[in-house]
Amino acid sequence: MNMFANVINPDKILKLQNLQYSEKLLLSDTVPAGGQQLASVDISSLGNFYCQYMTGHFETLRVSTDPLPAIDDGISHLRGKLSDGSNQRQLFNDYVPLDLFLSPGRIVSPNDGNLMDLTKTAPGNALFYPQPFVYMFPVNSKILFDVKNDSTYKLKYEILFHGIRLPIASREKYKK
Amino acid sequence: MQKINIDIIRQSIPMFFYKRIKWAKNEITTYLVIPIDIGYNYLLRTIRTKWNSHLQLDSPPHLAVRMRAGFIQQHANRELQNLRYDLSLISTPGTDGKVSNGTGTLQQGVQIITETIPVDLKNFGVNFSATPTQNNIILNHYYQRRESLDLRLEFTAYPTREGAFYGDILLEGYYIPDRSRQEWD
Repeated sequence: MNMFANVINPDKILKLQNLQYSEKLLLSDTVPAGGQQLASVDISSLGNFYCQYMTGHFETLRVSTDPLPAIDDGISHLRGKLSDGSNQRQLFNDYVPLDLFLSPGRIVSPNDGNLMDLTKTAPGNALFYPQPFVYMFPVNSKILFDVKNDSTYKLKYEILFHGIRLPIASREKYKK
Repeated sequence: MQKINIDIIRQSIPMFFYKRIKWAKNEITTYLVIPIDIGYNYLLRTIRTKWNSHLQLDSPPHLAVRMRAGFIQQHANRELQNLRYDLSLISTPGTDGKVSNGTGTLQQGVQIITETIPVDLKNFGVNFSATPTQNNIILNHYYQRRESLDLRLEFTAYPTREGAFYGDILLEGYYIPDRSRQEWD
């Protein structure tokens, strides 16, 4: 909006913001070594969430004795399966390696034993394109992400869902 | 303001198809056939690929193996290209690349897990380095209901390369409900 070419109407803008506004939901979890864990993020009772993109990063560590406790080997050890918690609808057909669809992906971990040695620690990746993912997650549901970790060390990952919140309460009068 | 109708049931649904492929040297063609669920069409938006290359460290890794793709619409027996083309022309391939082993030494990024681990092993004992896949061409291939998504891949591994090759294929798209079907009424 060019604010000098258009009259700013606060009432109109506030009404629109009550109906829909940009929101981001973070899914964060740590998967135990050699294990599998289901993580979820609540859509809550506020309203439907219209997801448009997702970005994410994850650690790439394995156990090490020298240095302790782990080193960044740059290998993608995590694979996950996304589903809609409201109806258990599978959105992936199989467990997809996280490096195939998440940007920026690899991240520097504070658990890396080589963290202080800049000659041995690889940098994390830069954010490239966000992954388009257009889906309406219904109110009161959950985004479920089942992740397997075949590393010998626990690994943390985070996925940020970028979308639009559609509050239910503000929309009651539009249902009639 | 216009009434907003959110139709959760009939909207398009993102659906990612993932396949891990293993092939030996000179084994050149494989098929990736995915049946489309009844009641849906499928819009294939784009494809992401990654494969290990067994190249020397000082060479561009993704040039060791060439992977050609052919898309076919089965309902019309229609090829969606005149000749099968390299996947690197539509998807920047993420590769096994070069990774640090933690001691400052670079090594090939593909890692074969030897420990017994409580995960299923559908060739999942092989991991790629976490190099990101980057740019992709939008394909917009549309597959009709009761059809199978037929992707034929031809691999060319240069004869000096040894060992088995692994490839990751991720098909990204959307299920689109066919509203003419009775089950949606």
